[in-house]
Amino acid sequence: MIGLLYKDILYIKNIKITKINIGVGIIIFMNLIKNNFFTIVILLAVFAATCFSMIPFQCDNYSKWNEYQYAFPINKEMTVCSRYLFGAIIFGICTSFAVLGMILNGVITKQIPEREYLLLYTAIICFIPVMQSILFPLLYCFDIEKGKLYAVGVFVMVWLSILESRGVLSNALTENSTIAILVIITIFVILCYVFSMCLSIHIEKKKCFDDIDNEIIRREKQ
Amino acid sequence: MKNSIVWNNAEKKFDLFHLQPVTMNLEQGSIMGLIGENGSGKTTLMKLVLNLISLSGGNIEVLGMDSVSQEYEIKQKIAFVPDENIFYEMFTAKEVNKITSKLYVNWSEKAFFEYLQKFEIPFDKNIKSFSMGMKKKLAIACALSHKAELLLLDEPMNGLDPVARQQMRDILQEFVEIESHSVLLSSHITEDLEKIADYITLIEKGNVILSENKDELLENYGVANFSKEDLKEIDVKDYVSVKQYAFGCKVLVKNKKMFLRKYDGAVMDNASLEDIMVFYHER
Repeated sequence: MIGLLYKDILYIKNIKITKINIGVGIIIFMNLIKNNFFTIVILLAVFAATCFSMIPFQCDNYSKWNEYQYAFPINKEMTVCSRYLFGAIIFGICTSFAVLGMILNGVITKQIPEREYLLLYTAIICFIPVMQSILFPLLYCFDIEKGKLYAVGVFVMVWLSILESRGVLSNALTENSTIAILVIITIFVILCYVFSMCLSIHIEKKKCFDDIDNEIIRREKQ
Repeated sequence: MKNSIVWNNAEKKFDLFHLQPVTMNLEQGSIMGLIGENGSGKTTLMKLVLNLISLSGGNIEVLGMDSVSQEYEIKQKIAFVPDENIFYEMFTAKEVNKITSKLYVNWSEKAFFEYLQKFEIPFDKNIKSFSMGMKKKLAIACALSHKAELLLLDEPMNGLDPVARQQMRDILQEFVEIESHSVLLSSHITEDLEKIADYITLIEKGNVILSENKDELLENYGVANFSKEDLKEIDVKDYVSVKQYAFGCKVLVKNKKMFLRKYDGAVMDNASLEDIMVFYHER
């Protein structure tokens, strides 16, 4: 499983990450002095997490790894678990960057965000693993091209639900203690992630690679 | 002699293709070459051994283990080299080592880098910049670095120049010098199989037509030349198939000595693997 995880991390390392860094840097710099800086940072973190979570699926498909990976001594549980572990790492990295951005902004502008806002942003950041939990089974179920379309749908859906529930979330955050909210969010996120992982393992196990060969034969006969 | 692979009525049914039940075996210490036209079932036969596709019937024993229930144990001891690169092209050979070293229990980093040096593969360059031969050699280096006992190679000579093909043949011959090692490879380039294979299996439209010792095959089969008039006197049971040309015809015979005894004076040439493959296709 470590080998598979390492492969996914290498994918990220090998993409032209510099361009993304420059883009992100410019956006952060441009928004550094604006009041909606937090929202931008969080949005970027969620967006980056979505993109990075999809890259290994795309690269596997491109390099024919999908077709031949099981010629290596790996099983389907290992493949799926390593992908979820990778997702968790991406979540950790993107969250760290968002928190770092917020701290940096606090230091520069000498403005400390209110508790409600901080909790709200925490809740929004936690949408990253929730979104991965929806996205991964979709990418395992459909091919990457269809999966990308669904990913856009998931991204829009998640953000619309955030906007819709913004008021409800704010009220809940005001009425309850910080620790209680964080515990609830954490449990919810873990449950989503575990359920999604089980679903993906089920999908991957059901996946029949005979279909790929069937398709190749059909094309050859035509 | 122990067997590396035993196919027991192994068959595979697709919507538009049926690999008929296969019963044969690959002995340890030998190289078996699979020949046949595109889509004849060579890759399907290999994928069944690897359990990449499910069996529709029968079973396969690999290194004395069941190919389905002991898949994980088998895959630690075998290596598959597909006809295309499966690693992401932005990876370097060094990065490939880091990935595969975590997948195999018996991975030897030292052996891997020795093979890279031997095959003159750069450690730090992207696979993207590699030639077809270099990509194949990298895959072979991976296959040889985890103490595999059985190599499965799908079209390993495809796209290689004569020098690279010779190197590949040397590598495979060196591999089977160890008694417990064996190789199953498919190739369109029958000339290579004539040089290195111990056994030849011909597959035609999903049927295993023959699976025999290569030396015996080349010794027994022959191509007889006749005029069109003389052909009429030949019993159709005495030859596999006939190819007609403007000035005569050629027939493939299974046993040239017997044929020559029966048809005294017939002009007989030795049959190459390519002849055997082509004539069976014409049948």
